Amino acid sequence: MKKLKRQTQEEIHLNLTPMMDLFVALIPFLIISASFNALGGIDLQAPAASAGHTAEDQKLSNDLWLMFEVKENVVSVQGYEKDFGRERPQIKGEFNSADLEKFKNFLASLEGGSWKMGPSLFHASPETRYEQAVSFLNVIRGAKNVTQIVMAAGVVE
Amino acid sequence: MKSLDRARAKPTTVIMLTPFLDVMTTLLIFLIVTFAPDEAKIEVSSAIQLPKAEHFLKGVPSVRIEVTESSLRINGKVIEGTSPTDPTSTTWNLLKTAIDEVRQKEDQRVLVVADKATPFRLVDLTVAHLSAAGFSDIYLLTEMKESAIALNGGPQ
Repeated sequence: MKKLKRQTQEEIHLNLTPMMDLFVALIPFLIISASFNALGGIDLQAPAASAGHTAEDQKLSNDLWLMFEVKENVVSVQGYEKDFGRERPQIKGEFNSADLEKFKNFLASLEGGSWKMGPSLFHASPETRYEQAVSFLNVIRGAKNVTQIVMAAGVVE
Repeated sequence: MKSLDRARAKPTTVIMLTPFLDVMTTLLIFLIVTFAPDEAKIEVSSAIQLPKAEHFLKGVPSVRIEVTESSLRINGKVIEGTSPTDPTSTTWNLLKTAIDEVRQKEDQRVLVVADKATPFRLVDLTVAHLSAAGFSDIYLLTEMKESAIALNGGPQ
């Protein structure tokens, strides 16, 4: 009697074949199309003509324009008055790529002052490796008060 | 006897998944293609190893210049006859012509792609010529550091 009951019970089959077909096609597609390395970027400004200024403007302002000069694995920073007029001797530093934390702290220390930050100029010597330049640019871009980085590219004939 | 009658009377239920899955497959592919981030559509030559940084790309420019020691590429296509190590105008005039062909109106942004071992003078020279061609925003393509991805969760 028990056997008969089992035989007559309703059987529900879930047809998994199309779903498996789908996944077999989908998985290689996703693997191939996946971007394994997330891409990022650093935005810079190309050099443009300056509007000019008066000597009086410079005297009164607390503008700070920074210039970053990379030579191989060393970056030197120099602060200037507006439009890179006169040097600000108190804003100066030199940092090695092996110790980017110091460079980061130097830039962070400028955030607290009453400086009105202008554009920053970035230049790297021809022999500098691109990777090295990007590692410094990465720190500069990360500084909160550095809003605009102008790349001092070579002169075109 | 009662239970046997009840079992016979019930209809067999079969869920037809095939049309449902067909729709889902089409829909999924459509959604992937439509909503894939622009960064995922950037193609970089396999020979290029990008430098690492911690900042996301602020949009994807329509013009992508790839700089290697032997050639210049624009949007993945080699510009024949160019050599970035050549400071004369030959290479750079060819670049300018190629840019004019692909550049979208009003777009002043350009994406510069270079291998991490590239001497900076090549990037510098390229940027100088791009600036002369009227581009004001230069984006350097980098690879995201794992720590930055973990911290920020994804492109913003």
